[in-house]
Amino acid sequence: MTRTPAGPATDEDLVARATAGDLESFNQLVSRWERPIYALAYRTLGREEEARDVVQEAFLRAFRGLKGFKGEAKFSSWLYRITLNLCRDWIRRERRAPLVQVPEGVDPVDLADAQASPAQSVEDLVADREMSAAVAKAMAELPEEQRTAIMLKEYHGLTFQEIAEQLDCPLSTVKTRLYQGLSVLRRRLERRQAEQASLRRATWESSS
Amino acid sequence: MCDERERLIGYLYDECDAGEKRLVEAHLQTCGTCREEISGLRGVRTDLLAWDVPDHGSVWTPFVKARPTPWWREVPAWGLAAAASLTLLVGAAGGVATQAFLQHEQTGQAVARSTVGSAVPLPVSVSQQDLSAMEQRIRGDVKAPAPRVDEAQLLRRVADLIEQSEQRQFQGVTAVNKDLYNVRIGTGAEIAALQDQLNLLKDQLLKSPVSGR
Repeated sequence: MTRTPAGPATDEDLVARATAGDLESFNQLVSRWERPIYALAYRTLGREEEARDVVQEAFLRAFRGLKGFKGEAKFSSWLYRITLNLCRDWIRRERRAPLVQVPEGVDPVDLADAQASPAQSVEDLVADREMSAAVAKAMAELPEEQRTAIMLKEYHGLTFQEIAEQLDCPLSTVKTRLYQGLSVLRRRLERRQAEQASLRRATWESSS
Repeated sequence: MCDERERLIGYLYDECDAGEKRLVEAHLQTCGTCREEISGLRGVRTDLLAWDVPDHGSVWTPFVKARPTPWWREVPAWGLAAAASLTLLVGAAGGVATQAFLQHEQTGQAVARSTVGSAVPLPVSVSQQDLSAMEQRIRGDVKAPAPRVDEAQLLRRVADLIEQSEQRQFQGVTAVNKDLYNVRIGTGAEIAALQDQLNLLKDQLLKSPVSGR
């Protein structure tokens, strides 16, 4: 982030001020990164409450570790690493794969209060909700290293090199994990779409 | 599938240099499998955008700066008491001097007194003669020496106030210590009682037939 005379402070500036005791600077860092960190934790764990706990713990650890943060990596990279480690600890503690809260079905009536754009029909909302659930389920079924690589790339915009540093693996390994993960997702989502199409056809034929 | 995975992924995410990009595009012109692969992977990336994260609100309670301690909290109690006493005594001394300055004999007219809180209405008409007489009297009073403040008495009074303040503080600290001592004793007693109960339970468990002993 480039600093302009009237622009916001960079992460490095805020970290320096927070390290010197300016609590408000740390609050600003939290405001800036809370949402992405929550998104990472939520997509890794699949649970809202646990994701909230991880977010809180991640920022607490970051605050306590500020003095030891030398600035060799980006602040965000450091935060991601803390978050991923906390998520891994949680998964190991629970001794199970992360559960994704996939809704059993979507009742269109429940969507009556949903905040939709004027152009979105109920059918679109249902389709979006189903797609989100399908992606979440497919991601949860991936091996952890592939899922993490895809999440950091797709949802957090890290480069291959940054992902390699996060996961302590070579660049070529990152690319392989991305390729394999995306290929598996492709097969599963295409299969799901085929099943949905078949179901719609059967429903249409039975009603006509 | 050609062994072009790494290049395809770099191309898919636009993380390859211009030379690499040209090579991949040239390859895609001739390889239907890779073309289909790239198209499929792009479709997956679009699907991935559908994965929503619920709105969670903030989970962080912002740090709040500690309020600065007012300056007067850093002054010891006896110092504050001494300053208050001095202020009171100086004010009283000033009041006495002012009263002496303004007080004069009544000659059938109303007299203005400078004592705090009192006001006597002046007569409607005051003659020039009266004003001159009043002026003479004031001049005479100003020349008279002001009553002396007994310094030794003042110091004794300040010392008394300091001692009283210290005694109050000591009593307060003693009361707090006593309470803490009682709490510690109470807690210790409770812990001992709990320990006894645990030992009893342990004995019962050991003796029960379920434990096999």
